Amino acid sequence: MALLAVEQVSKSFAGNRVLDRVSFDVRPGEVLALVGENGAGKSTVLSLVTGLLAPDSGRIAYDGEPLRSWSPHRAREVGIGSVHQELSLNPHQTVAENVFLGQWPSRRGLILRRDLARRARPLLDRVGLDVDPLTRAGRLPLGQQQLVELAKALASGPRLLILDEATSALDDDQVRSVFAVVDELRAAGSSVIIVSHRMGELFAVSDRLTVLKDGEVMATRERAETDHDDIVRLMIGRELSDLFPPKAGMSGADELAQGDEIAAIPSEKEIASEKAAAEDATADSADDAEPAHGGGTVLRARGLTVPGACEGVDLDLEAGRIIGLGGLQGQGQRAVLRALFGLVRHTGRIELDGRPARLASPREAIRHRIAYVPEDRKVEGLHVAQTVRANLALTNLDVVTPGRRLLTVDRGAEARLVDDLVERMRIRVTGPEQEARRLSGGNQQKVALARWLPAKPRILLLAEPTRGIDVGTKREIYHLLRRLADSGVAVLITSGDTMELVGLCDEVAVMYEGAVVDRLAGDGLTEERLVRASVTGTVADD
Amino acid sequence: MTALPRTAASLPRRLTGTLKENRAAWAFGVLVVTWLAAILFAKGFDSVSSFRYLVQTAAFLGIVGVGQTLVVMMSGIDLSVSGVVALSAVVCAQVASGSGGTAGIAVALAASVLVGLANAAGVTWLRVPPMVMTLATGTIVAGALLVYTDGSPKSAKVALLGSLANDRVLGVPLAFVLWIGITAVAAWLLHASRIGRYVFALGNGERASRASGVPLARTAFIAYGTCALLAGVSGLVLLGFTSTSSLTMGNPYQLLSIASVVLGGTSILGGRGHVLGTVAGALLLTLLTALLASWNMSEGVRQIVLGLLIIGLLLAYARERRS
Repeated sequence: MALLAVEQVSKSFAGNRVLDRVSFDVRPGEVLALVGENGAGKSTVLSLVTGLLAPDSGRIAYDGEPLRSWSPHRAREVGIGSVHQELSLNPHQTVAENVFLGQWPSRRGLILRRDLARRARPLLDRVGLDVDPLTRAGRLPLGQQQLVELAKALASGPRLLILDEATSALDDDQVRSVFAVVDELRAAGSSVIIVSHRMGELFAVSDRLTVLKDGEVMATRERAETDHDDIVRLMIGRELSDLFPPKAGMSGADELAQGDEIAAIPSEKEIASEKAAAEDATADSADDAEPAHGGGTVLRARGLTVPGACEGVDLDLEAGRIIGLGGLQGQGQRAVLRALFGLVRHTGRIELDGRPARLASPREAIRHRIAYVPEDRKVEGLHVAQTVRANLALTNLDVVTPGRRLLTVDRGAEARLVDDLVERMRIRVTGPEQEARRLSGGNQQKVALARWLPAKPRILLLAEPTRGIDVGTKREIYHLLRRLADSGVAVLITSGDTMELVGLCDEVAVMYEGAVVDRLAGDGLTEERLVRASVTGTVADD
Repeated sequence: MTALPRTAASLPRRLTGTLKENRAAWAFGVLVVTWLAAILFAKGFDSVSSFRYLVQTAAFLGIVGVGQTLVVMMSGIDLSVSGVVALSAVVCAQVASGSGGTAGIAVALAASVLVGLANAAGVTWLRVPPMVMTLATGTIVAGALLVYTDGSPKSAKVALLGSLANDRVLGVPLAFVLWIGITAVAAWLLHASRIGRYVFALGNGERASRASGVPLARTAFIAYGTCALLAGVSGLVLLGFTSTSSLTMGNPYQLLSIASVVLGGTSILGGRGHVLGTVAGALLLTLLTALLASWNMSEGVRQIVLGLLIIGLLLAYARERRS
């Protein structure tokens, strides 16, 4: 008998049907992967299971009993634990306090801190965390905090563990720790539901995969009877082998060769709109941009140092090229981007077009036509409580305000700008007045990127441009970045996704403990070498 | 896949949605209901003169409230307005008695703006939390006034201020006209101008604003500067109204100005609301004060009831929604 059975469940928000008669089940001792693009309904269905939302119709049974008076509290009581991409730790409390949040051992009203730490130890060991349980949680790097979340979920001995994008901030070692926990739970007869955008992970750990698309279950497959292509096809309704665009200097014949590999050709309409979008972007950015290729070095950084984060980084950004910053998580990649956008204090020499430049604030960086799309799009990349319109207009007040400074914003010009960007970037919104937080991650990212385009940036900095984004949108973003590069923009990205760096970038600088240890380009840019350099921190020569 | 065109079909839903979301409109609704109730059930609220008197006295609070709205909207708060109201009136009275009314007004407004700029400098450059910074400057101003006047502020009749506070045009109190004029300019600044976009952006998140190139310092200086200027203007009108200045004349405006902003539907956390709501908030608070006074309550009981009413109204429509 299934531990969890979801039967014919539907859910609508404001007349918008997000789940349509969804059915699947999870058996004891089984790992079920829930797969789908952003907005496919994965989060909603999980919220139903964890008691955050109630279904409009249909039935959910746990342990044979239909759920009644369901709430997050009840769900925890009966053994449903969950870890989400968004952290729920209290950063000011210790790791141990967080792990046992709400169930601290106490004597006569006093919390026994020592006891707490002692009891946290084995849980931390289980998730492969070697930190002092008395450290404040907020001091740990993101990945380790995520593991604390996992330890917290394990503390109550869950029979059903839900991992919702819980590995997206983790490096490979940490992911392995999580999978060890999953295997352990499975062996003990517990069940796991896992959601991840990393297909490799899902195949490595799950027993069955349930694919959601537009709120409907497309299929549930045994892992042994399916493969990546099959799942991706189910997710997006077509094959997707042109995930990455051809690289710089690979036009003409090369493009033809690439074209042969396209298995299923997108519909006519899609090609047309893509072409139009490409032309738009090109025409737009080409107005006053330098010639596409060999445009020369736009930004040259020498000895770029951010105290405590990166040291002596040399970097050349060239028009038309996409440069990647690789390496393990937290080796200073983020600091380099933030320094180049004037968000953190830094030392070292920066030249723009051969002239020394000081990037002391984002405003100065923007004046030099540098744009930045941060990894933390909900706090830094967007004003999530504001409308899509307000977000798109904020960085373009020069465009929508005919005069300078105080002057009145031209509503008509604003509406045209917003409509144009929404259409050009194919942002899925109900209208310009929709709040940004109601958008899916992929569409939020599109907004975060789109808001810079009208200013025609010469340098585009992106941190983790596709983290937590569905594969369809990933592809769109990759192609957009390449089109921008082709039109003369110098692009710099950081990414924890090796495949992304290798597939997208013309050159990858590998960082290790704050310094660039290797640079890979051309044929030398392979996943294997990239991983080796990342892990060893040395030049990867064969 | 692309954006839906704004169809006519979705208009009614958007309209009701807007109304539900629009707490400024709610404020006007509550105001009208309260006013009608006052006319029906309390004595002395049914005459044109009482109406006129109410909007005239509401103007003092209302003008401070407009400034406070600007600051609250960018996630700030200005607790120094009480000090600035007194500062402006006391300084004007003092200077006017020596060098004439015009000089008095100019010096008073300049001093007021100076306090606002100090607030902005402390908040943006020294990164002192707004609540602490403005409370401190307010306290400093109060202390400085005590030193400056030796404890006995002067009275002064400045003709311009007297007519501004008491005269009418076509039967409408000039103070009210001034208030509405100021509100109109503030509405443009906040809801139509570029600066307004910055204010709303800041109110919705400083980090995202910084990364979007919002000029943090400039926006703060404009908001705090304008707020202090308007508190100064209110102090001058009050001086004109009473012809005397006192060290404590601004005290009620500290919390009432914030209450009028919040009752007007603006989020105390910033980034959400409309300056017109504050007009309703100030009128509502003035009306409630007058109502309570008409029931012959003692000052203590009046304050208790007013406080409870503010909480009740907040719960009724201006509560922060949970994210």
